[in-house]
Amino acid sequence: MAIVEMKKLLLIGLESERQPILEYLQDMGNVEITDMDEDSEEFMDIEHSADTEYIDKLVNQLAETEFAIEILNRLGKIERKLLEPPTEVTVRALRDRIRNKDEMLAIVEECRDIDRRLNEIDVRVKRIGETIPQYQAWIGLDIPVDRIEDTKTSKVLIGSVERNKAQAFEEKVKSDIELMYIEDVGSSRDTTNYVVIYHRDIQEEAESILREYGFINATFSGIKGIPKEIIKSLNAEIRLMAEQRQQMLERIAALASNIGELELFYDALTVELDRAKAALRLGESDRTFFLRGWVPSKESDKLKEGLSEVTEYHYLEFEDPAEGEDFPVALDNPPIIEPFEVVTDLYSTPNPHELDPNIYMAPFYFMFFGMMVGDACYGIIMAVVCAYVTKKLKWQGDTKKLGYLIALGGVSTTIWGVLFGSWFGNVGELLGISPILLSPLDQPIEMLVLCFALGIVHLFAGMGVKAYMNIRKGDVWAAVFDQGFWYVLLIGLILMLVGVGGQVGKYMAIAGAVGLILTQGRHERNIFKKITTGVLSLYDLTGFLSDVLSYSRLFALGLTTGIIGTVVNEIGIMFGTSVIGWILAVLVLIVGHIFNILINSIGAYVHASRLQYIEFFGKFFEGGGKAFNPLSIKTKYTQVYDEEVI
Amino acid sequence: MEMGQIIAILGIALSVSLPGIGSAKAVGKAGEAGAGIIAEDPDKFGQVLVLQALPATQGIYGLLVGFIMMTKINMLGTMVPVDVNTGWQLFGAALPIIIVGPISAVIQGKTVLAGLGLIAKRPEESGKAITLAVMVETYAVLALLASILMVNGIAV
Repeated sequence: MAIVEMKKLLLIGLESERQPILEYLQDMGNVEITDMDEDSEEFMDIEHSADTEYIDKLVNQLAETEFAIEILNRLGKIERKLLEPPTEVTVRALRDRIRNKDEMLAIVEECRDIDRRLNEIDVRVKRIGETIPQYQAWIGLDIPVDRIEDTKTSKVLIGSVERNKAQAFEEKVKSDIELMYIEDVGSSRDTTNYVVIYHRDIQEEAESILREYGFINATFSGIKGIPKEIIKSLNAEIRLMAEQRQQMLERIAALASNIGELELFYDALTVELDRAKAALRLGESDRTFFLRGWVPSKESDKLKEGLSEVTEYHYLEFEDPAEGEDFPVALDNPPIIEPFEVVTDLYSTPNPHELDPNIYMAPFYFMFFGMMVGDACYGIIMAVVCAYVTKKLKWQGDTKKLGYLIALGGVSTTIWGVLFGSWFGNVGELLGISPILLSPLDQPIEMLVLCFALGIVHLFAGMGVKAYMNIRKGDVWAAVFDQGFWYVLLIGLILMLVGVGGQVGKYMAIAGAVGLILTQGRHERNIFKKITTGVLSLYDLTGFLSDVLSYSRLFALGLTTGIIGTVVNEIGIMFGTSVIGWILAVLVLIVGHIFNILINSIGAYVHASRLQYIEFFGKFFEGGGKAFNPLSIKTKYTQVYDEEVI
Repeated sequence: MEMGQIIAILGIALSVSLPGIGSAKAVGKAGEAGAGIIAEDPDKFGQVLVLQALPATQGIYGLLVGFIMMTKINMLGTMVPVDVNTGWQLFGAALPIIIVGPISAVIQGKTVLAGLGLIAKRPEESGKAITLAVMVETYAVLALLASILMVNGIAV
């Protein structure tokens, strides 16, 4: 229920047995392998070139497999059920996959090949699509383009005239010139295209007319045939490409049934890659390898036994971390606290020499989250949906924690919703369900006081944890001076403010303040500095005040949910005047309330976190630890059986 | 319609629209930057979305204050008479969210942009990026609270 104790580990084994030993460690998933330190320089001279080559190969195969999975998902029309849990496999199945990988790599290769072919088809089709209009412009030309050549007596040429000059050009030629023939054979966007034939006798005259109307010669170099025929064959090619494309898609569809196997293969590769990368951290001699790492103390016996089962040729040594030595941090909390770790981890992993804050933080987070959503029906929906999805999809790690965090938040939301009488916004009110505690909108001052009171409890708890840490360190006086006097001063001030206990509050406040003035400068040498530091420390009161005021967000965000819910209901009711109106109303209600839940649970999540980070953690938490990151089986698509992990 | 009612409605209109404009601007900017990050790594969608949603709340706060004012003068039913004095009181009560809402949304949007930069480089630090942006939000929350309390306290 705190930070897990770690032991330093030294393992020496035979190079030939490196793989089974590392696989065992990975299956067990409880050893973090650290880099070699300087004292083992003789081992570091060994180059891991074979290993790095192997890793490069794995990385490459992994990328190709991911690509294959992606293309199968995109084009393979794979049907997936909503909320489909991941496939479960055994560790053995994972490792077997990697040992006969040729079959999988062949599929991966084929996927890559199909993709390449599809790209070629797309490029070709696009290019044809661009060329067809060029021939379309000459559709009326019934001479093969490669046969346009002069005859003995006449000149034959093709070319274009700008469209707005075309008519004038035609009239001019037809009316004025004999021995010259033109024919309109097609047009493109702004030109009209002609075949022009004239007798050599009038060459000069003809050329001057052509110049006058801006006639531009056209050429089809390297192309044979009649434009109409060319277009026909191009269209045939497009049809062929479409057929080929269809074939490729059918091949993909046929391959799609392998997607499960591919996903398994991907995970197997990841596991193998992790192991191979771990090997880089080992020191090696010709015949042996040398491993340093961390293992949780209570797992050390199991590790010893397990390793002896793998091989008898090894040397294993455990050592406690030196005083003040940093070790990787693993947390061990009861299942009900565990989800809250995700909040702390987002801020910082605790450092190995302090308390795990989660157990102190959890009840407050739970309470604040619920207050900021604060609707009984929303809470039930959040709790049920999140718990169900998390369980059904077998989420692991942080995702699982987050899922249960929101589910727990839902439970708290329900409680506060009942206390505040909020059921789907104002539905409870309309049905005559009255709040048990108070109605925030009708009794705003009471609500604000409640928020501040909870805030003060939270802040005091934070100071309490710090005092406890001081005492645990053996520094009882620090606990008395730095936290005790603050308690006295603050409680005194609060008593004075609410007017309870007569003069007690006043004397407590004075005693606390004097105590702080006298002790807060105790680390200074100079008497003046002692006093000024002591007096200045009282300025922290403003900090405390702003911390307390910060809890007013509990009120404001709680109101937000209720009021938006009410707005949604009102809009729904406004629609509900006819049959179609009622259908619309139901739609509005469903969409509106889902939106409200989403936006407010995000708000509650971030603001409840903020209250921990700034107000609570600020009082005692240091953080800066390095999370325990053992060599283990990490999968993306599949789920490894728990029982199979040794 | 009485002058008082007109002033109150003006207050409602401003408290819904100005923070809404501010939020839309900030969320839009954050979305643009977020799209760039998602283009690089689609898995960051969740983190980006949470950050992008942060400056959206000011618009909602504005709507809230507006809505409370609407219920106050019973706009959704038969409007109650509001004299000029009360009208100005309601208008004044809405001022905190009218002023702080849009400005804090835009400023929070800038913090979110910086936070998105942080996520792009170090996705594991998204909690810190969120916290930095939430620090700005505090003032919008305080303005909301002040407006709600004031509107609530005005006798119509």
